[in-house]
Amino acid sequence: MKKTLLAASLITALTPALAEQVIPLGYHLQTITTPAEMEFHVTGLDVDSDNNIYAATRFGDVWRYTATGQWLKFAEGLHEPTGLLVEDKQNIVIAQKPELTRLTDTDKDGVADDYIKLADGWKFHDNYHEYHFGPVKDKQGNFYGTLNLSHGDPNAFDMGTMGSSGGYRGWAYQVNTKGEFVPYAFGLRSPAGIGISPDNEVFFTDNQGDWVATSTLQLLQKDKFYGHPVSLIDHPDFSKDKIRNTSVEDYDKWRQKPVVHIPHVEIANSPGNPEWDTTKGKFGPFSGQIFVGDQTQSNVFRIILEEVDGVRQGAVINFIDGFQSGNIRIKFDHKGQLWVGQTARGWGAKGPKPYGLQKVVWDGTTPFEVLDIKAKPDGFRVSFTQPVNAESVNKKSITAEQWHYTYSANYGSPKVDLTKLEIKSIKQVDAKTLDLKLDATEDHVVMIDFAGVTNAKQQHPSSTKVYYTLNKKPE
Amino acid sequence: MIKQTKKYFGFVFSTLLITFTSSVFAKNIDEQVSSLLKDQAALASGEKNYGIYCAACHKKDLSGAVGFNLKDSEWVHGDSAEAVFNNISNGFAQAGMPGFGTMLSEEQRKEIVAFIFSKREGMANIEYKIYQPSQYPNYSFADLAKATPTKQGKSTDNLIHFELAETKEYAIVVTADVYAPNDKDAMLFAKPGPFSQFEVLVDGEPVKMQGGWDRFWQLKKGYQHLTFKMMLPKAPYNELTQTNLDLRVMTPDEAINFFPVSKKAETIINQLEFNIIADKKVVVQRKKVADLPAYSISVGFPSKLNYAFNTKTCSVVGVWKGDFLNVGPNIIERGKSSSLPIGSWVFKSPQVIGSQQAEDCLFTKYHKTDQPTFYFNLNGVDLSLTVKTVNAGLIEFEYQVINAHGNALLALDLPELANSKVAVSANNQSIAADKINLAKTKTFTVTISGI
Repeated sequence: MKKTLLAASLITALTPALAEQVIPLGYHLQTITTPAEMEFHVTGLDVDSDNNIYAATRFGDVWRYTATGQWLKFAEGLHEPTGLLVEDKQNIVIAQKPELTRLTDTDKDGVADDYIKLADGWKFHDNYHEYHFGPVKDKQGNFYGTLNLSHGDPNAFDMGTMGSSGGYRGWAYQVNTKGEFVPYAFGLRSPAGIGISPDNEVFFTDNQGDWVATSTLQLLQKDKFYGHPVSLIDHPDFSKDKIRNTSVEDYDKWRQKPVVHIPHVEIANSPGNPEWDTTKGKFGPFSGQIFVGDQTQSNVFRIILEEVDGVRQGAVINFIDGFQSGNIRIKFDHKGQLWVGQTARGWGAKGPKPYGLQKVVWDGTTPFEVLDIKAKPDGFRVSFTQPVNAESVNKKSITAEQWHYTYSANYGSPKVDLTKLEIKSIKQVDAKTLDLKLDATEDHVVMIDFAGVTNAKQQHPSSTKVYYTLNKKPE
Repeated sequence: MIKQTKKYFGFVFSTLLITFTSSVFAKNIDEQVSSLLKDQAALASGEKNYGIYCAACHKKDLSGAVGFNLKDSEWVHGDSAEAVFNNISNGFAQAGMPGFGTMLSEEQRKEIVAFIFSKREGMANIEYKIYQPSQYPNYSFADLAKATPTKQGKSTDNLIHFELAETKEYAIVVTADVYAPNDKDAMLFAKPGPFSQFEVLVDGEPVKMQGGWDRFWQLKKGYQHLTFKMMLPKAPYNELTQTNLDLRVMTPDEAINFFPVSKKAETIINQLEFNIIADKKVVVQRKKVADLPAYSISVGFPSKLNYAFNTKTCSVVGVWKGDFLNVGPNIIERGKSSSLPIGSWVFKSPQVIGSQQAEDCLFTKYHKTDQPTFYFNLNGVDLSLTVKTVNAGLIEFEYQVINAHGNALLALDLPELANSKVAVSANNQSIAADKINLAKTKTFTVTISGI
């Protein structure tokens, strides 16, 4: 555990936001110097086989950052790209607002000369909010991306806030191996992050707002509805009247429930792409878990998933905060370092800088942290990265509460039916593992706070609160 | 865009002097110009003479070049009809503007004034009254009717200065003349943050407030009288509430800023300049551009000619002369507004160089070299387009047929230009644009000369 106290206790009380940075012991932030005098808002990140980093900027450039620290411009003049995928050194695919584009360096001089359209089967109406996020590519070679709803477009169909002028706004798409554009799923709002798991499953995050009670992580599945009705104007079974006249209850039954709720402000406001830790331990003890950056909170948090009777669910826990700007894209390189692309333009971020690039480096020290959590029929099994101090484990050192959210057209939802949960019993399964008995309710977020739990050195976890979305209780 | 710095204060003084000594005559001129504003024939005559005598220095669209911008809110030499009439009549010898008093009849000069006023955009005659919370205990605009303002006055720069209130919590009532564009839909836009109250009247009639985070009110076209009331919420209030309001006139889709209404808006709009200039090599930029359709890719040449290719219609949707693009409005904050072409249009959409069957076009790619080439398919025919500029007066659009099957006829739409020549040729022979046989014609060129 590392809590960096920056001020005396009196000042800390007055300015809690400045008081401490959440960062596990052994992890460090490094800031990369970006090209001078460039608007370097990094909204696309990937790495090639030689560990060169590629960054797409909102200004419209693609840059390569070599292992020796050189910046070279690979492409320019793109329309606000918000995603980048390296196929190989000569082929980079980017998601720019009007098009999915392959940038090809045909003469191998290190600069793209062919700007090839891969897909533009959706409609772009020059509205600023019509972002195009992606792409990811599955093992079969299909591409996936997501298409933001519009905002403030006077010609758009809306139900209060976000709108669509048609053309698959609020949809996810696939470009299959024949190059065909396939409208894939609908009901998305502002799905700013898309990622693919080592098991070849595509997930996306969606940002809190109208019809999205709090930000979410969702599993992308064909022909599924994810909750925002405006996108249905491109659905063959709907008209504008039918969209308006369908009840919230009916939409609620139809929609896919989030795999994970990401509590607003406490964890994230505007999450970016989910990135799986496939570093096999090079980044520390969290192998296999998902990392996500947040644009507003300037943090990176972890997501721990499991499947219970065919239902996906899991937990979120803060990992590191205090980044210099808004974290929208993250990517592991081959050394197991986590690169973080940043922008704060237009929405603001806790970090003071307008843009930038940082990376998280692990020095090999194992911190004392909550490692994993799994639902049980009567509670949760929680493991830590190090043996826990048994004396620190009791019903006072661990507290829990639960709540749920209201699905509606309103802009976000408060916590509903917030209730304290009694920890009925705590059983130490092994040195690092605890079983907690508590009466949690399905369709609720259960927050467990391990504020009093320590390791043998009396260290606390840097993040003590775990937020578990209990869609299904194991039987 | 060229923005003139206006510092001829001496002339302002002399203009005021003339105004003072000839008030009866002034009233006549003001009234006469006001009546000419409703006379289409007089406006047409004014436009014609403006084109002959004034446009060379002030530009055809009145946006200013050597001479000042004549359609914005800044009127260095006075903004009454009489002042403008006198300026046209007497000129400004030191600044290089001749007097037209002997060259043009009095009627012709009044018609020019009427034409200029018909194109005017911006604010005028702004008067403000500021109130403190003790004067409106119910936080209602009705309270203000009986209240005495703690501050009141007239704006000296045709902008509202909300920071004049100096306190965090206040109410303000502003009256002003507004010259909105005559030919485009315009909205009064405010970015107040939450909880502030507003009341807006145009020509005495209440206007409905629209929007959520941003607030906007529909304006009429051309001249109108505005009453704008704002009351900040009771403190302590949300940190996002803006006491120094960004207030401006924009298109309903927020793509184009017509003019600032508040000083804060002017400051923000002035920061929106980020020019990309093709000074040494060809530059390709894919951005939202004012007056161009979505999906346009802009290409700038060091010869100072620029064009835009549209990937949905495979057409050339604009050519302009000048430095390339100000992308500032498109890359600042959320980038809601359009990039602005620098210079003047040779033509723009809906005029195009493109197929009449554009809906059947499939864009493939562009190859970015010194002369970028666009590749696309029209009705089963693979084509490429490479554009060359020799100098600022000549641009050539060279089409290559890569792969044609059967009887492939292309009917090409061309722009109709008053001052430049548009021609289509193949093998140095002029050909008809409406029947190009792509099976036989492997290369053809559209040339615009005399730009």
